[in-house]
Amino acid sequence: MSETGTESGAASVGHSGHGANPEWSRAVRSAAMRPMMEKPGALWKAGAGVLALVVLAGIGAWIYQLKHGLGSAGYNDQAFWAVYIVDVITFIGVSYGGAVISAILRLTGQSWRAPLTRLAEGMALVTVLIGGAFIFPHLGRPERFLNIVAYPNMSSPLVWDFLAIATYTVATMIFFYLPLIPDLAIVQRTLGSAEGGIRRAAYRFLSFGWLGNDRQRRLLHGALTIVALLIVPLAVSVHSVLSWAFAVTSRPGWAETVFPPYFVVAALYSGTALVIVTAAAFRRGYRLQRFITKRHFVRLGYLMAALGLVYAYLTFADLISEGYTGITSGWIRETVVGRYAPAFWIYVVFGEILPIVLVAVRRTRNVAGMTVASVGVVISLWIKRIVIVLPPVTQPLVAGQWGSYHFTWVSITITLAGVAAIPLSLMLLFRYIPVMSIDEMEEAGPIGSFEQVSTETEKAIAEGTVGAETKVPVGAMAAASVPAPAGRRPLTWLRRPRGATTAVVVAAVALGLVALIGGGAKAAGAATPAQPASAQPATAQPAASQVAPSTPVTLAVTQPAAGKSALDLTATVGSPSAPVPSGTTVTFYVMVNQFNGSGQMQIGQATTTASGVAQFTYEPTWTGEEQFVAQVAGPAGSVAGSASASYKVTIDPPGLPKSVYEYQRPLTTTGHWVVTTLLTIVAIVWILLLGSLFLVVLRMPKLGRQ
Amino acid sequence: MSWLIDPHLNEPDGSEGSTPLSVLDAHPGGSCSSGSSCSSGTCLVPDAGDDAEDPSVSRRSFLRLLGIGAGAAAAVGAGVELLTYREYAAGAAAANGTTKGGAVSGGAAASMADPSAPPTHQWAMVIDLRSCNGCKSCTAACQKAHSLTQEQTWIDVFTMTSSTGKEFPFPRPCMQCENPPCLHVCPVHATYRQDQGVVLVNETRCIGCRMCMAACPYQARYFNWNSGTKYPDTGMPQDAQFPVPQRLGTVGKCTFCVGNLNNGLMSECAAGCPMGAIYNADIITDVAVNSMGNTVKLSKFLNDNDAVTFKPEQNTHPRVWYILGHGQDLDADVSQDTSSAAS
Ligand code: SF4
Ligand code: SF4
Repeated sequence: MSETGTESGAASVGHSGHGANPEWSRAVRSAAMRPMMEKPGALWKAGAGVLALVVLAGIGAWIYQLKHGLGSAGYNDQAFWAVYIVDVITFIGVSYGGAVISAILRLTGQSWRAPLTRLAEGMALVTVLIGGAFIFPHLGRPERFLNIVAYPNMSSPLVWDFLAIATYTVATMIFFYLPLIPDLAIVQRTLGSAEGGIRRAAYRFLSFGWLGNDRQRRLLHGALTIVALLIVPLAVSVHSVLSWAFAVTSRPGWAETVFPPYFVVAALYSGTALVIVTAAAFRRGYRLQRFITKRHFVRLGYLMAALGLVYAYLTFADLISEGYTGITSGWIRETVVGRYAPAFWIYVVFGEILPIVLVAVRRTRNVAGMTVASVGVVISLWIKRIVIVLPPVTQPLVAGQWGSYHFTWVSITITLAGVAAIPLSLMLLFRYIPVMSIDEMEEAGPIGSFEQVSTETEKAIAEGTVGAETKVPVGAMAAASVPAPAGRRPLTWLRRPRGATTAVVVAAVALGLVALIGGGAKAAGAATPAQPASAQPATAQPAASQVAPSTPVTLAVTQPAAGKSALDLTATVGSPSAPVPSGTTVTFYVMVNQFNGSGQMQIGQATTTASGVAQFTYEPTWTGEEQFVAQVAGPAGSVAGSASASYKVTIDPPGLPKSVYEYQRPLTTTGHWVVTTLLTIVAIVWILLLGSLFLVVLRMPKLGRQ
Repeated sequence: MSWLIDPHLNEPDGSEGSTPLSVLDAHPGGSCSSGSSCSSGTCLVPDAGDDAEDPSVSRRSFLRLLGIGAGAAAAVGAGVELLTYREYAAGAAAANGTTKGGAVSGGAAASMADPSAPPTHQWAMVIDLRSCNGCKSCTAACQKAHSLTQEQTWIDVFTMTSSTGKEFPFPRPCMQCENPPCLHVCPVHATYRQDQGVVLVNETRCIGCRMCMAACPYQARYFNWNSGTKYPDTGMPQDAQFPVPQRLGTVGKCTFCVGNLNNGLMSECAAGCPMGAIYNADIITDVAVNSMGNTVKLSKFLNDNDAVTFKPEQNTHPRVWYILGHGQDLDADVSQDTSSAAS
């Protein structure tokens, strides 16, 4: 925490190294810090007030819902997942867009990102927190949320959801904080000593002695690269696991292999759109027109349109395979022509056709056009997710009617509160931190370098070694007046992405191998035993010969082999004076009163020999005193004769294993080490994330002193 | 990593406690009270003290081994629809070169006292669709016994359409799947399978995420959505075996009335069926009984009548068998033949 920085005066401190353009630097600083320094205007106050009211209303609605149950939000047994889970997916989805756009632009050294990164990262941070918070209204028992930590079931997708979202949230926070460090130092030095001592002290503490020397830059850049590299696969994992909460069920419409990429692309698509919307709003509200230009919007618009096309393709792929066979396509009919058709076609028009047309037509390819397109995309992707969730959830799985979900004021108010919380949190956030990354803006130079940063600078930025020798083009200041350079940019920037891409590919291949081997082990474990024969032919009834009523019957129970549980039931039918024809059927019963039942359970039949003896071997299924009955049927269903005998079974009968089918849980038994591997990966990610943060925090002051 | 494996037997929180008295009260004439007071000598169920012979420790571990081996073998035979349980078991046991198996000595009380003791019963159910007339008495009896709302049809009678266009009633309780998807996806082990094969919900742990409702292929789970419902207070601590009153914000489902079964009584639905279409069954004693007093040998009954399970392709291994008989089939595509209230 050295004080050395203060000696050179507020305006130029922190960037003495490469502040090649004092005018640019001044302009950037004043624009980025103006919302912090000025007293909030009436408009700001009114806006924040209204947004705060909406948020408060949402909190009130949630309290109401806690009291009255999820039924008050329109839920029922055939619509058990609806609006809140859509909110979770949507908010965390747009967060992904913000973070990944910023990360990718950073990794590929796109210097035009400079004015956008703070907005994108701030939006990512705010939305992931709001999205995570929507888990609470979604749960029936939010107060038991920590049971997930206390009793985790590793075969549940929701536990992995929790892990992925928690990890991603921490990553987003670090990804937001690290690039902020230089700016915090600048802010601290810019604040006059008149501005509350506490505030200054906080900035000084949080900037950890940042002076902007080369070594500090290298350290910060290294840490940022690690976090940026991590955040891309992390976000992929978040949305894949979110989609698996749907795809691991057996519901038609959810059990889709396309779901993980489907969700990831939807997140990127809507996230890019929300970056555009955020940029447009703050550009106007905070008068950043000079820095965030039409070209930024057009670039982002191209990206958004490309993602939109991929998403349209995935949507079609999702619908066509099941729709074609028609086996389980009820949900498709509901989606495309049924009850949810209006919503679906709103998505098609405003979420796909309109934005792509607006980007394609040159005359609408401007700030207004892109903003309109993005608003359409953000809203219609929320609607699209409703359409992904509701038709499969309301479909009847046994028979009967489709269910339905009805929005109520509770669910609408809570959702709107989430929407309002985004601008509100950003407005509050930018009262304390600069709305643009001053440091990156100064590093990137005037916006004239939007596409024309010299190779040298690119390289320097990429390697974090921007020093005094760097020559930032001091071209025209206003972006609009600078014609786009005709020459292609040199491909130096490819060097770094190649490394990044290789890392990602290696990681993907490794994960794929793990999965394959895990699956192989599982398949090998399940050998193929012979299938037992299916139903036996029903016992043929021997032709019943006439048996006279009141035929004498005796029954004897003997144990033929010592130590074996099988019993011989021997019935002797008839008497020398009244013999029965041989082949007379004798039916044997055992008395049962399990389940409060009344008694005779038939255990088998046998036919008599010439001497009137019928024998049947019985394998008892329980121990204790058992009572047996032998019966001979008379004419027309009457009982011609019967006898009973009891026997105490003492030997444990050969019964059954307690459960014939011992199930193997997904991801636990044979996949045990798959879980272990995945948890190890999670642990490594956490170590890398927190390690980067701590490294920066601990080393930075020292590097500043040297 | 032993904590990764779900203890599928017993969970803490007293969910495996004794059956509430109210169940007994509902059946003052219940035949077998505990102890050896049964006069008939064939009273199987609550005979905790009747048989002094306790299962030996070695047999217990042997059984566990057997169970694992049988599981591996059985897992693959899953596609065989008409297979009855005992044949299945015999095949599995033979594959292990043994015929020694579970015992019926000991009783419900014994298995409660020592969760690792081999259970003496494996509860199951047979629904004879030939007798069912769709009167929904089972639903009403269940809802009364469990103080459920009108919508909470733990056993529901659906109207199915066969492929010949014929409609028939189809009672659907929880299938007590032996490979229960609802259990696999529950994030907090609130859904568990007790050692008699009944899948229960610990409503004191459930976080209300409804993942289980998404996973159940039989739509057999019902949530407690509204606090407006007035559940009568039984004065008893809530128990997973008898989850009354239901708790707001948690999920409930058919419990097979396992408390009744352990006390020698029929489940409410089976007892309430005037047609005798529902049989309570025990796989170990190989007995099935309906409300008309029909007592049948379970394995033979299933075999002779070509019993089937519902949605065998889901690999859930239901403990509920159906006996078809009037040209019914369970293959009609439900999402096709139910017209939506579209547009
Ligand atoms: S609703 Fe309850 S029982 Fe069902 S999965 Fe969630 S926590 Fe488990
Ligand atoms: S029928 Fe549904 S609720 Fe019952 S055990 Fe099977 S999956 Fe679980």
